Amino acid sequence: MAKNEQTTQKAAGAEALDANSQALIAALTAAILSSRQNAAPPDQDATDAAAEYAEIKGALRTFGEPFNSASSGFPRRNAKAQEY
Amino acid sequence: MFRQLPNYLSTGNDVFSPALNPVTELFDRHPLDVASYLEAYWDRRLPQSSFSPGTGGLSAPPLGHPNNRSEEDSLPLSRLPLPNGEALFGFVNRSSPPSLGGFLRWDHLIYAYMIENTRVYEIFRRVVHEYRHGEKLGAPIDASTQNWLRITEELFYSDTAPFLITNVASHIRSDLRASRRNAYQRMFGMDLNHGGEDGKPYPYIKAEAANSEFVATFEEFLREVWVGITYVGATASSNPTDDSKISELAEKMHDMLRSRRQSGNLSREEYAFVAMMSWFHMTLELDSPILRSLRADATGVENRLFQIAGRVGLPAHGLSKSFFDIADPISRLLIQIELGTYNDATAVRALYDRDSFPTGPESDMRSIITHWTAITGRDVKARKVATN
Repeated sequence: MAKNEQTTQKAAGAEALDANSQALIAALTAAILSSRQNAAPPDQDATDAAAEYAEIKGALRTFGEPFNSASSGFPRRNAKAQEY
Repeated sequence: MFRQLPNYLSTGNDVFSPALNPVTELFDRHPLDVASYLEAYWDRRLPQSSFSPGTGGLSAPPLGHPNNRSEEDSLPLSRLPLPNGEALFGFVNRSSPPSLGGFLRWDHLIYAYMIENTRVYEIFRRVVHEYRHGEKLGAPIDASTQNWLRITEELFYSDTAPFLITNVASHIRSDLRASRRNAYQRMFGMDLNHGGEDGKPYPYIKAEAANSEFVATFEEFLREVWVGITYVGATASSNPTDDSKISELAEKMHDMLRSRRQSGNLSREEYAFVAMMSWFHMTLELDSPILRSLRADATGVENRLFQIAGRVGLPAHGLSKSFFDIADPISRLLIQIELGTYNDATAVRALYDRDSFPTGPESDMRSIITHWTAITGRDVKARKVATN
């Protein structure tokens, strides 16, 4: 058997879904995907707050941090170690 | 301030070209040059006539606001010029290079508080003391070490020259250490975690008008944000995140902090103390001459501090790593809280939803919560238990 071969077996006695059930599942899946796509965009105020925070972070960028960094908030601690 | 300086100090006026390359060149400058950087940096604070973000072209924000900390003037460049044709550029935005029309920020006073709690100021005081009184630590290995000692002694362990913006000592307040504790007590209602060298509480004047509720409010704020972080992706449970409460707590802190800053109060002190602590922080981060002289070559700023502390016989705080790691993010957060951004409940989702707001403070909030829990011993991740 190949390493990644699908090994799931249909349970004994299980039967394939009938056409109505399959149609129902397809409709539900489409509805869920559609609702995600049509979800309201993030609040504008929160978007502005995040952008403002990034600007504060940019202005206080310390030596050695890359320009225009949107990196994580973890501070660079090993400048000396990186020099070696 | 010093840790930001290399990003803005240029060799000329046209295009930004780093003047401190490598950054350790700062330690070879004359002390007066370093003083001139301090004056010029202050002069680039907001609002700038050419650049005033957030004002919409209207008048400047009220005095004490993060975008208008003070109207006190530093010495103009014509009186205290930068060395060798150097120019200090400013920040414009994250996607633009430094510009002469830009502005500069310095860290919040909480940065100085966190760094000083490692005991770095007292440890380097011992270092300078030993080098100036004998050879217990050996002789400085080179001229750069001598210059570092000179700058450090003249700028941070002496009475600053009058008329400089960083001169916050006088016959009225002659003890800088007491002045810093006074500022911390007024702004945060907190004293440092260590006393004097004799282990006794350090005497300083405690102001009546102090933000004694800051810590309790901040911890409640962190607790509520942690709830938000925990449940932001919840789909199969109720979501107890309370945006209104988070904004209410943010507004309470905003009001407290801004009350202490009315008419530019504490701005010069904040600048002077932040600059002082950033000098020592930067010294530990870099391959600085004093570290070479002391053979403090461990990995990580806290381990280098521990090595130096061992040499001079004054222990650093055991949780120094947490103090170093929390200093930058908590500084940024409090600046934004003082801007009043989170006084509106519709903005607070940026604090805990990284997927929707990747440039927001969520990762910083995680870092702050982790290290605040470590340094205070109070677990802000734990849920409150209601009692009957």
